[in-house]
Amino acid sequence: MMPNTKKNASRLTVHLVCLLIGIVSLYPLVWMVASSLKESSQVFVSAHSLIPTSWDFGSYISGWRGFAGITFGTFFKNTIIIVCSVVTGTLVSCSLISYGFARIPFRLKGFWFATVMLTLLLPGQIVQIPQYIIFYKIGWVNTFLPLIVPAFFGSAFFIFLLLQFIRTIPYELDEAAKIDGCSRFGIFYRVILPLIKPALVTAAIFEFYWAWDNFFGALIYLGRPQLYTLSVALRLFADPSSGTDWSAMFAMATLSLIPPILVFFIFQRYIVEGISTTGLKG
Amino acid sequence: MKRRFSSMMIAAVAGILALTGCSGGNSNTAEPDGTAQPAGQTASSSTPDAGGGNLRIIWWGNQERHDLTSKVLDLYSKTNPGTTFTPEYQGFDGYFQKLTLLAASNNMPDVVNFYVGSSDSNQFLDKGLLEPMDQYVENGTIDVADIGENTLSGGRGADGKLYGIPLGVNARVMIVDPAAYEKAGLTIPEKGYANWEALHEDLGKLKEVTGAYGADDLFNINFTLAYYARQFGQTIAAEETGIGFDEKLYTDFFTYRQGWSKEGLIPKMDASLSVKNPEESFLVKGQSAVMVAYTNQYPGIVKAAGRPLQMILMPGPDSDKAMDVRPGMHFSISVNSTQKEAAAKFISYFVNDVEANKILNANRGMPVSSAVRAALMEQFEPEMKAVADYMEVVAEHSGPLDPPAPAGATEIDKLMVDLEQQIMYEQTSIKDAYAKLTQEAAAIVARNKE
Repeated sequence: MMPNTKKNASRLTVHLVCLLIGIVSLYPLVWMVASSLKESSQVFVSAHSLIPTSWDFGSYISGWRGFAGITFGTFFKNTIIIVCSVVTGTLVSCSLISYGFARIPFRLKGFWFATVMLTLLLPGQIVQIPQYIIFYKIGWVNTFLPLIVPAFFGSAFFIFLLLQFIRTIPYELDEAAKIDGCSRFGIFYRVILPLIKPALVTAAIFEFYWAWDNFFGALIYLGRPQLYTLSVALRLFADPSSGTDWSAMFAMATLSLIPPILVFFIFQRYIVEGISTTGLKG
Repeated sequence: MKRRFSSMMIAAVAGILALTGCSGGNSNTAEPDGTAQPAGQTASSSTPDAGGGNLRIIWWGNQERHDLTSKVLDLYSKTNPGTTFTPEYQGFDGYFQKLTLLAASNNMPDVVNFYVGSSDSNQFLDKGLLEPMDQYVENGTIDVADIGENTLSGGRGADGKLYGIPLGVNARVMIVDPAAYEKAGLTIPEKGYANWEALHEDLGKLKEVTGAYGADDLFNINFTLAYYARQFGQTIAAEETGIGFDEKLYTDFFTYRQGWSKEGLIPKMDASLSVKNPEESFLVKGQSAVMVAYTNQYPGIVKAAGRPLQMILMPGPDSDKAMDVRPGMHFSISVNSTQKEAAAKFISYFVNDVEANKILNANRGMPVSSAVRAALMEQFEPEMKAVADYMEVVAEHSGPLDPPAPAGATEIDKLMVDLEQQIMYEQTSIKDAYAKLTQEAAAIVARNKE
């Protein structure tokens, strides 16, 4: 009896602490959604209250209207095009590269791997201007290409992530496939790829978030408003010197959160799976 | 071992060859690419041979400004066939970062929304990235007949050349809450408080009415110190020493501020720093009855507050001398633009055309042209009309603008904000702060002279 109540009590504390952390981290989100339903001028006057006095969806309409005839439909479309291409590119390139590093012996492997990992340490700001000048010279500024194409050449973080995952797959599987007549690419495609699915999903979700949130890249490479992504378009509401339509901004920010949340809820079981299983099933 | 080394060497040489081969091939293929693509880009964004051409124009703002400005661009294209626009509008966040990058890659738009004299834009002037516009004014491309020289002078850099045409004018204003005054049994001084002590007295009574503060922070150093210095015939910046005000003025200014903040008449430093937008001010929330702002912020503040407010002149003695009519934003021309003449023509249209300004509706501040202002009077909303009326009063009760700040003024501004916080958080005494300020300001000016 005694140990049981003790156990229950400790479980209760854990739950309470989790609940508290949950509330604290959810609060800004809830506040934003609540503010999007308030009238713009009321956002800061009644900032303390989470329940709007009147449920006003007007800011969703006025916000969606966008800027100078370009609606948020365009911005959503642009963002989805970029994000889908980036995720595809990252998955294709990173899985191939990490398979190469994990399974294929080649000269100076250590050196090349170190080179890839070094790019992780290089702050993005350092390469920003040279990169911009290169993309400008080849005429890619004002297109989606500078945002999409680099993803097709791998990114160190995901290469490392997938590499670690492939290393946990027993090499015997490769050998068995080889004996059965699989080519090098066949082993990758038929054996490795299905087994690293959880890691791929993890990488896809991360890359989805990052590409969805990418502000600075989109800000500098996309000049024409027709090409703007959501993250850039949301800033178009804000002007500290004359006035900001806060509720329209929050309304569109709320809408822009829906796809990442959907992606998370649909794919989160794969993340859990990716952590709990170690690549070898059945 | 030896074999291994030699094979490594071969690999290295092969690698280098591959790299140079690659880059050689790249530069070969990139050459036509590199010229064709930007040419293609300019073909779509600036065709000098196809009539008026395409002007690239960049500005910052909010939804309303993007909509209205785009409408004016369309109107201009309609009345000037051959001229089209590629607008690149932005939010204010990131605007100058993007502009810096565009400048670094020699890719600045033709027409640039700017604020000549702000710390963000000074670096563009210092590096000679903007076209001096005096010649376009002289040859009549830019019509400044209806723009006062006082207003125009705000667009001049430290070298006296004109780098920007103002798009609107603002003035400092004290905004008061008439209801709170009535409740406190006070009368609003229509022409502003005659001295700071009178304001101090009223704030005590207003504090009791609001239950929080008497006023928002009235002594923001960027906003008020320049005005305060002008009251005593001094200036915030000076050519030789960097700062143009004496120790007594600085001491008085901060003594007021420390005292009032200790009495709770104005918010403490941390509280006033948390107010990032006029919509978030304590006046809007009903926790104070007085605030200071620029006139272009007034309509927004009234809307946010949702109750009647009133504008009066700034407080203190000699406000006639200290008030000034300040240009809001500017349009400037990039020094690398290939169509400066067309850009200048458009800017002239933007500030002088009545139809265009009827669309813009004073979105960038009170129009600078007196003819435009007169034409707009009838369409203004009550708040805008109040601003227009107030601007008329200010025009009669104001002195000329301060001379352009010397090179390095940006650094001095930063230093002053730094010291402001140190004084208000009681990390340093006013006396020490002033000593440090005079010493470092002079050093900054000397350094920038070299």
